[in-house]
Amino acid sequence: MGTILKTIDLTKKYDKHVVVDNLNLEIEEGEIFGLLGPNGAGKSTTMNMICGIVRPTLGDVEFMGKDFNKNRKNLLGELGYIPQELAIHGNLKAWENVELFTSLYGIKGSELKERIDESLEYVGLLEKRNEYAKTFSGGMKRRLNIACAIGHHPKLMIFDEPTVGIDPQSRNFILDKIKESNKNGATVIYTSHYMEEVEAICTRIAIMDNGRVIATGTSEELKKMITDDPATITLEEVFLTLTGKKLRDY
Amino acid sequence: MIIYLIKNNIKLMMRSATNVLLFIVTPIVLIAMLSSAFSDMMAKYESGGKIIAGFRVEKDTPEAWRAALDAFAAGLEEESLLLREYVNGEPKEILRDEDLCAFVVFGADAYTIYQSEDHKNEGKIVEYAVGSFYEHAAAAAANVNLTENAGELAIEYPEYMEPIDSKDYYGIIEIVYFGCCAIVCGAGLFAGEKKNRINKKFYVSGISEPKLYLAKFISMIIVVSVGSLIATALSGLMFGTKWGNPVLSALIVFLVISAATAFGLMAYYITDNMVATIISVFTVVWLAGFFGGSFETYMFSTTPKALKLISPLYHTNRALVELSCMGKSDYVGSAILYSVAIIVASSAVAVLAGTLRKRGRA
Repeated sequence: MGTILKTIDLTKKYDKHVVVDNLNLEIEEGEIFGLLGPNGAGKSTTMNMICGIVRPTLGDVEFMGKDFNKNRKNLLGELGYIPQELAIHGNLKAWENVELFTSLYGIKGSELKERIDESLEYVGLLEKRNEYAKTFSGGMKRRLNIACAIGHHPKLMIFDEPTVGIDPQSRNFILDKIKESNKNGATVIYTSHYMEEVEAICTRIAIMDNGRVIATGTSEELKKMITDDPATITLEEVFLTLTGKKLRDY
Repeated sequence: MIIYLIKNNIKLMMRSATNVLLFIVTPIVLIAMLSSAFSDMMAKYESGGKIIAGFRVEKDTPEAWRAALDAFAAGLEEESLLLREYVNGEPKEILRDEDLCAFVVFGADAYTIYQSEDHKNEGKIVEYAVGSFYEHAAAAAANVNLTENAGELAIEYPEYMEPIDSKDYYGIIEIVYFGCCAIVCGAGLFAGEKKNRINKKFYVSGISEPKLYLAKFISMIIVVSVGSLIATALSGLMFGTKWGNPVLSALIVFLVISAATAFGLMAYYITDNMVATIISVFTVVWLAGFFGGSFETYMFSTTPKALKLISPLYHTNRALVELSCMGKSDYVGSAILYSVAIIVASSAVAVLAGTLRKRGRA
């Protein structure tokens, strides 16, 4: 297993404000990599730079050994992006939403039909395929959001807070599916404010603050930075110790 | 594959009640209202009582014009519009004393028309007739030497005076006008894409800006065309609206819808704001319609001809109305050219604006 994604001195400035500051990350193939940080830490900007939505002020992103910006067109097909927003059309049926987004990757005809059913089945919505997305509950919409981003079988899946505002059952289902995708070979980058989620599924975690990575490691390694007895401390306590308790009003 | 994008865009737009209301129901209501409001004026134009106007030919007018005017007057008489010559007297006094609707002083290259306050509608009919005559005469005059009194002005008359019923006129014009509001059709779709950050997913998929534009452009044209077709069929059934050459008329309507779609998309791509887009597009379309005969019939409108000619809707409306009542029109070419030019220019600007915006965001 090699490195699938690498950020090299990745920096983003808006005027004089540095949002991401010389970020160097290496994500190994087959990992579930958690990215944690308080509001305004630079997580979303980092995600956006990795996806090519935001161009870095400085630095590069290497994806599958290639410069992402130079090979963007060829590499985007290997990337699945599940945004925090419910990027679906309420007036389209479940299968139509999946068709719309999967077809953007050049998949068509009978293969597209297979991928639609496969994606819907994957998120447990196959029986609801002919229902309008606007009639779905929050949890179902979140699952549909995921189905819309996995139909093209990406190698790297980026989940940006995919469990916001849903019930524990749906959350549990989504986390199980992320683990399942990972077992099937997908590498995952995962951001969330729910520490227990990150602790439960991520093989490695990076904590960001003020645009920089301040700690990286497994959950155990991060805990050991604070105390010799990891069993006595939670990931949330580690997070608060490293980033401080001051409110982040961004 | 933009075919799937087009297909789903169409579904989204077709499932909007606002679109059904705007492109099918509203034109029908407006056709009924406007055709009823203007039916009196147009009935007089069509076959009502005799309209009597006075005229005088200026002394230095070439003989060829005199002959053409006589032929013109004879043609008008068949259409119940009587032109009576007055050699002497003050035009305004004659107008008042003889209770005429208008008095025209003809010159070789210009005319002056005095209209009665008491017979405004009839006066406008005379103005339209004289205006049309001069338009045709000027074209014919280019081929003869008027100073030599050749007397061979090949003026086509009175075809341009063919009557048109108000239900035909507004039945045609309002379908075109609402077709020009095509951008509203995509408003819900664009708002949804923006609100749900779907554009972000388009960007991550790597789909190119021209493809995205094309998917929106084609789907909007299809939806607005289908809406217009249904409204046309309904107005035909309900009011008996008659269109001229169906293929040519359909082509002109299709092109004007395409032009309006491209223009609306361009406004949206530039402003990135649906409210600003709708305000700007509606202002332009309203002005084009005001000068182009979408509210007041272009025949009776007092708008200067130069302003009318600037309006793409004038060319489209006139081409379609003349196709309906005469079976042919000199404005078909300009209507098509105007639409094609708008499609090409607006599409190019829209794609450029979209690409620049994307780069700026990145």
